[in-house]
Amino acid sequence: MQRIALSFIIAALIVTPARAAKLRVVAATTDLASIVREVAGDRVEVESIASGYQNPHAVDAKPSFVIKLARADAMVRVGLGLDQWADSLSENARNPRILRGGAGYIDAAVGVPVLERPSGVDRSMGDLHAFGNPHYWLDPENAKIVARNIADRLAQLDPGDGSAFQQGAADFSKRIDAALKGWMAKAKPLQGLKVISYHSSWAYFAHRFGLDVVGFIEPKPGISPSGAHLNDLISLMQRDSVRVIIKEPYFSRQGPDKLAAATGAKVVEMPPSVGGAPGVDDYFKLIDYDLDQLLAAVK
Amino acid sequence: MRRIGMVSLFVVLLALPGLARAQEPAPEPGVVDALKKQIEALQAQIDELRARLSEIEESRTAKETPATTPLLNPDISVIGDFLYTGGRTQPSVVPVSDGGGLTPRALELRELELAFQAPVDPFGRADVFLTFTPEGTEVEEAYLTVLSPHSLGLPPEVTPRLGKMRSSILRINTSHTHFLPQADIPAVARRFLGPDGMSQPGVEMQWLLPTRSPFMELTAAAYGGSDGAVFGTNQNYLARLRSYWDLSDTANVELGISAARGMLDPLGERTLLSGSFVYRWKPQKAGAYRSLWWQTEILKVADAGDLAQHPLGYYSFVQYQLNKEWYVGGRWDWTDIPTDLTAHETGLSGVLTYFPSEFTRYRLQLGDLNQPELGQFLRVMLEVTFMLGPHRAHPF
Repeated sequence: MQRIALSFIIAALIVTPARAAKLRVVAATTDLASIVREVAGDRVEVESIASGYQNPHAVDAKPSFVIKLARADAMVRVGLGLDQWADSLSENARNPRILRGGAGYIDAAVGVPVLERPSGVDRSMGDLHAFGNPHYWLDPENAKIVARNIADRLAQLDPGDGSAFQQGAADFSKRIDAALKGWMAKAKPLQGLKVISYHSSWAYFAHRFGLDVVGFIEPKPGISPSGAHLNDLISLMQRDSVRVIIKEPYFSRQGPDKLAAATGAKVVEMPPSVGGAPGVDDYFKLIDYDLDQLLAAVK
Repeated sequence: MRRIGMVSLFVVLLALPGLARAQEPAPEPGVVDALKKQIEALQAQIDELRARLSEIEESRTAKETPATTPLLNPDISVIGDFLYTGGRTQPSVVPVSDGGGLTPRALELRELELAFQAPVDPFGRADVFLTFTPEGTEVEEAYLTVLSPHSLGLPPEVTPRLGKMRSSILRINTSHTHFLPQADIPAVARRFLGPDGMSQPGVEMQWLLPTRSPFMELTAAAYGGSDGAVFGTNQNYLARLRSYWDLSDTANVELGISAARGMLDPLGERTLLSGSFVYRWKPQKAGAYRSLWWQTEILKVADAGDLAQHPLGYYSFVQYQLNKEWYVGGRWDWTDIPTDLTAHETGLSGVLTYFPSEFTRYRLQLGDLNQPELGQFLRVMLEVTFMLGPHRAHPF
């Protein structure tokens, strides 16, 4: 009897098709990792390199990230020059799949309508991105494009789950469309709101929700503000009645606080990435949270 | 009859709009101006859209193929490093080949580095660094990194490098002059490896060991030697094990051990042993404003035979970031003099560094040094470094 049972078990093990290992996806940022989760659910293992409260421009290429990438089937990059720090990581990972042109190299920016693309660039302009403003994920319409890019490539890497990935991207797009209606309604009080931001992280967000970014605390991208520049901003804020200063979590409060003290404006700390504030643990919560922060400031 | 009726109706319909207009009151002059402005604005938008459309159409159209394309040019960077040395700056009293002495010039363009970096083909990339110094022009490094080792029949965990490279016998030796954490190289590196460091033609294999944590990398290398290097022009070999741990999201440690072996006339076989320790701390949220870097390395010569000598040296430095632009640090040096074991060199240096941007650096270094050739003296160094072009990030 035991022998028969054992035979059945062995037969069942042989007959049951072996489930292929899950794709391992490493995303450069938490936002991209969140969209991968939306697209692929638990069909893939996903982790990110940068954390949500870290400046995505400047991430140390730690060797521990190399280990993650060495085992990855795919790497999702922000592109547009934002995550160039990832180049040395992928080259050291001994994993041709994730190198530029490799089957697992996913440039999430492909197809995104790029804002602020300079006609020419040199370093006198600071750390200006030659390919245009790379903070495109903060426009939910662009998140849909990112999801499609991810789904298309994951489907190529794992054709068995291809239709599920495509369906995941389609479902995500529908959820974004539904959420966007609510976000646009919610953002009505923000239409035309003049704001100062620390860095040009909010161009796409402002474009979608109608904010008017009239100045930056950085005189040029990546350059710390001088006293003279802050004084110019104070004059500008007083002249244009600017009531809100947007600061990313990883920038100093010193400049924003000085402006706030001189003008009575409110400093709003807005994370540009998932994980940048407690409870902001997916893409939808990120947009919700940032809109709520702004609305609370203008009340 | 029906035809006459249709014609009459048509005439009436034609006349109606005119009649209606005749009955409308004349618009106010302000309204007309506003409408004109609106039309002008709309016309401007149409013109802009037309221009954009023609740009898009043009970009989709194939162009005449040029003979060459600048798109295939490598990334080119130029790094200039000016140095002022004050204090007791006598001309070098020890031959440079012995690794002693101070710079003979008070103010100099210490180095101009020209870097060319790009993928060569789908299988590898090349990095070429030429240096122009008061002593002449040199190929500091020029190597091919094979990124697809399968193209050479090697396992994927192995990264071969071929060409002229700076040896990793000391971690600090792999740093180019402009990337040194202080204005000068530590005394142990200068005394044992030469003032320009150790760069030789050869082959390196870096193997990422299959450990999930810690990160472990084994390097095995064979070099052909070069003039002025520690092994002269004799062949020499290197093995290095580098490991790395994340202590937390903000702190990490790196340990490395290396051994190099080769022939050195007339002493015979020479072995160098070294160890390195690096601790880094950098808060993720305020990473642009605060960080700490502590690095210590020790190097020992372990020659065999009757003429055996076992000189050693070490250095240890700490650098703390005060805010986005300012760093403060210090370094302690202690080293035997390889050619005279009865003597040794010590030094204590304080360093203040200012980065107005990632691409310009000003550095002030004050040192209290004790060299057997010059005795005890104070030295001040002022270094200015600039960088043009898309120089790639240095390895972590």
